[in-house]
Amino acid sequence: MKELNTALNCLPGDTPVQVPASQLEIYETMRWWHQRQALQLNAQATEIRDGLLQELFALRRGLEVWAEGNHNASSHHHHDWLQKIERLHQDLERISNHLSPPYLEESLPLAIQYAAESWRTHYPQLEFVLDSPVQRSSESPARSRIILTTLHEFLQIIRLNFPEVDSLRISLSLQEIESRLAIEIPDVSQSTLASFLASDHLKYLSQAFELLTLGKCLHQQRELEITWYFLWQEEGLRQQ
Amino acid sequence: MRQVRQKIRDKCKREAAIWRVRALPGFIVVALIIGLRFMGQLQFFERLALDYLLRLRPSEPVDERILIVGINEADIQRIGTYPIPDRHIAALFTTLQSYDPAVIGLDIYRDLPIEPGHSELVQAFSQMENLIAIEKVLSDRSGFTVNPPQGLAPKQVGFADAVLDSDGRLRRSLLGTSVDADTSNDTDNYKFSFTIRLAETYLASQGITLENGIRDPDAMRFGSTELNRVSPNSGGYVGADDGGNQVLLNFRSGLAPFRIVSLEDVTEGRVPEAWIRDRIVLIGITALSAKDVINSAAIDGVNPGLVYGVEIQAHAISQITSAVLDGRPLLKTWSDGWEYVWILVWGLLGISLGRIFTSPLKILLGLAVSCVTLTGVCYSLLLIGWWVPIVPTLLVLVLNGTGLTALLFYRYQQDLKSKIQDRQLIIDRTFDSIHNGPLQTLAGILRTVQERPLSPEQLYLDLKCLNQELRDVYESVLGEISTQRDSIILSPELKLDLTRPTHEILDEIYTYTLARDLPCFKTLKLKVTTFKQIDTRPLTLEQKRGLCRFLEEALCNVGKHAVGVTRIDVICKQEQNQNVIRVIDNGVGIDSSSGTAKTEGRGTQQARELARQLNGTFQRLSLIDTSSGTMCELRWAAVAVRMKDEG
Amino acid sequence: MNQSIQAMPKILVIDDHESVLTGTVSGLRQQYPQAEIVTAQTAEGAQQQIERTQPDLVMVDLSIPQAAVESAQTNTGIELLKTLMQQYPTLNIVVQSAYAKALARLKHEINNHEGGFTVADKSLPLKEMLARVEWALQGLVYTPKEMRTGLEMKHEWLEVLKLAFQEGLQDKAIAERMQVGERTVRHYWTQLQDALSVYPQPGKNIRIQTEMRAREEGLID
Repeated sequence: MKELNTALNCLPGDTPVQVPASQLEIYETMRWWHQRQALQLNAQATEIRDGLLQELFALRRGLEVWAEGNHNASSHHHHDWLQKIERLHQDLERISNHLSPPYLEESLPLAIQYAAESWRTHYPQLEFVLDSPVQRSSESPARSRIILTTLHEFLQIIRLNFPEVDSLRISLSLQEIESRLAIEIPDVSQSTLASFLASDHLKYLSQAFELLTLGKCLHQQRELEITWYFLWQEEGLRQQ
Repeated sequence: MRQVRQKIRDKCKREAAIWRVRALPGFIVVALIIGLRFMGQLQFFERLALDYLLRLRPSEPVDERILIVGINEADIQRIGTYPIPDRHIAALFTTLQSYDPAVIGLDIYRDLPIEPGHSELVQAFSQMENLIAIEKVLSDRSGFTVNPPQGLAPKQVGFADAVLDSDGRLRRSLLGTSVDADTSNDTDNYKFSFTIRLAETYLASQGITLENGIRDPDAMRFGSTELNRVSPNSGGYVGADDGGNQVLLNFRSGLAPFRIVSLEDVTEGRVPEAWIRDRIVLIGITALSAKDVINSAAIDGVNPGLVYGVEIQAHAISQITSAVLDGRPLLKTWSDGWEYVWILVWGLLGISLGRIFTSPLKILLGLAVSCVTLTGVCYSLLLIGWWVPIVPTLLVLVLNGTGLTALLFYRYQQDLKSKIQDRQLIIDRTFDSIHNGPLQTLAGILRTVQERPLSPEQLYLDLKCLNQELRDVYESVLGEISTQRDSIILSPELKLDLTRPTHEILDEIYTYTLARDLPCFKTLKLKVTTFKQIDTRPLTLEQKRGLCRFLEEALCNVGKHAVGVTRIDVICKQEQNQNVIRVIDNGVGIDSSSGTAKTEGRGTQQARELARQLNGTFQRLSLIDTSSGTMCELRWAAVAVRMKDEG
Repeated sequence: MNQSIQAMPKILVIDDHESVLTGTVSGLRQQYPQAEIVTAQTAEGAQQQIERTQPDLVMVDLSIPQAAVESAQTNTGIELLKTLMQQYPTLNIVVQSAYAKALARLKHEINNHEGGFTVADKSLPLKEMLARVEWALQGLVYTPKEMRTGLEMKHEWLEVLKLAFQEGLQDKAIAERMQVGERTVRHYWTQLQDALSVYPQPGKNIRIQTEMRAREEGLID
């Protein structure tokens, strides 16, 4: 077994708010802001799902039934129409999923799994290994949304900074006391790593995450492998 | 409708299954008591009980058919000599005869002349046809018999031999017997007793003659009344000497069942004529000095236990004449078969007490009521002449009743004991997990800090880890303690109702546990499961909880230690009358992953305890034949085979 | 019996959108012109309709309200499904929902359900939706792959595979060997085919497909 060279680096701009009282205040403010936003997004998503999509479904069925009943009519047209409706349907669905990711209400692991599916189709060259408990979690939808957004943004930053990375390992561990999302990036070159660690996006993401969850963002480097940790506690426990 | 029938059938089956197991000790007790009785170990007590119950009966009116002329101490002193000279006896005969009695019985041996007045007695004997005297036909210990008085026709002689029980008490009356030909010159060597001679003569005067029995040709019969013979195993007797024709003595209850007058009363004419006319007059000695007494515990009296021979004769005659003329019951017994059925029925009642009632107090109460009822029933039956077993029935009832109560107490204490053990286990486990987890981590941190300075980040991660470990310990202890009575809490949002069928709960446990974030589950490719009904016998909620814990523990072991596992088999079903919960994996066996031996030991300990409670077995072994893998299995007897597909 | 169900089944469609109901019903009407089709917009309405009409097939959207005034929730649909499967073990069910993973909670119930059970996303074209309806009517099981974690089999299913493909037995003989009814064996087939993601395809023998998949997974030698 080769010796691991564990080198832990401080986060860029690692100056967490020192006064707990003000940190709590900022946390409450941010959380409120985030919740309001999430509510709005959810409402919009619901509007699409329960309104537009259902109408579109009815429209498509109507067209399909009509087409079946009128074989003599120019079937090409119907086919085109149907395809257009289907594309519209998919677009609307994607937008609504973007506004309000599926399964957030049910369970964070499910939501992450669902998101991973869409990333896989989005970045076919990137291999995702997802490690997470199968179903159950007790995260609140708002908290789940923060985690999911964080993960989503983090992946974007990686795509920007390490175009050469072809595999990622994401593992989620949900515990009542402390939960952890770890993203393992194997094989990064030293040169890109420096710029990655220095990127503003990463800095803001880490701070936003810490502020919104009162959590902690850490990373650990072993030779060419870097692992990012997002740690947070269940909301109820923070007050104890 | 069909469902109702099915339900009833299911219930019956379940009940039968419970009985088959739980009632086994009860049946053993019944068999044991029946065995003891069969060997005669209980007859002493059964006879005592008979005596006691006979004494308890209400007094019967005086039997006016019989007058006892008892020659008492005063008479003997007045006459001034003993034995009473023949002249006095002859004079008594003459006086009595003047009142015209139906029959006179002389219960005094007169084989030898006792002067003066022997000739007068011989004359009286030859003249009076309604006179009956006694002889002794069966040899006593020294081999003696006693001849009848001279001058009497054979018809006027009856033997006075008595058959005593092994406790020296008299409960039977010998009516007739064969005697060896050489001890008697008579060609007809069948002899009748004094009792039957008197009864026969008296009843003949009423127009009823002695005949052979109809139901039992060897029994004696007057009219429609058959005198039931005693057989070796009648009633409480086992292997009794049934020589000759014996009947059970149904003593006339009461302090004064017969009129008794003294010799002087008769000679002085103080006895009303009506007491003698057409009645049976018995002459005997009623003086203790004459030693003509018999032991009986069934007769109430001033001097209980000792009864004059003449009184016994009166009882024996009276029971026959009263039965024939008044329909007074004679003592009867059931055949052996029915007696044992009777014992079995009460034994079953004793067993079912434990099934019907669950609290020991109620069982004891039920037992008391049953005992009183049983005694009452036996007493009532005795009043109408049936001597039924009471001692063995009471024994099986009480033994089964109290035995079950004791068992309940025992079970309760066992439960308590295992609860205390569980608590101890939690404490031990807590200590272990603190020792194996947080303390080790802490030691590691201290060591590293000593060696080289630690970056704040690393220290933070390590402390986080320590924090997590400590909280894990707290969580697991909390989980163990906060188990609610009828549910099991797996996670804040998964609460299982323990009253649901066991296999369904276990299926949930399986799904939940496999979804846990355990390292070895990641390589799993194939999961094969069977969850079939195993509620063949009622399990307590505590046992169900134990089964859940067992499955969870077994699956967690796979998740933690079965490195490289690709297939897991989970089986919960019935196999050849046994319920089985089995987990098989094909990962690296337990032996090769050491270092966790201690915690595994705890799990194993708990599984063994569970197996003990279920009277089953637990085993965990490495599968050698399939290169790698481990099997963990708990099995226990399923009482009844009940498959879902049957219905 | 089966024929008459195929020709004119009684179908209940449950969705809280009037327009969706109209669209779905007209689609169904095309395939089953003689079918008796009823609709319900709430979970409570659905229960009443089922009691009244005893349908052969129920098409249910997961996101429905419990009663008229309430808002639609996925949980309501899940609970309704659970109740239906308990009360009517042989009812054929089609779940019309985009979020099939929420069904994972019902895995145990679906495994024990004796009727057909298929899932059809609302984005499916009419033809495919009708195919899922047809499968459900045939008593088949189709659950999306996301509902499962790895390959989950039952020992009975493995036994069926072994008897069928290693010993070459027919269903009747398998039923005798396993001491269960033939219907149970057919139920095992549909369940294990779903676990192996093998579904009817025109021109292909489903048993052969099953055998191939089972060999691929190493379930039979």
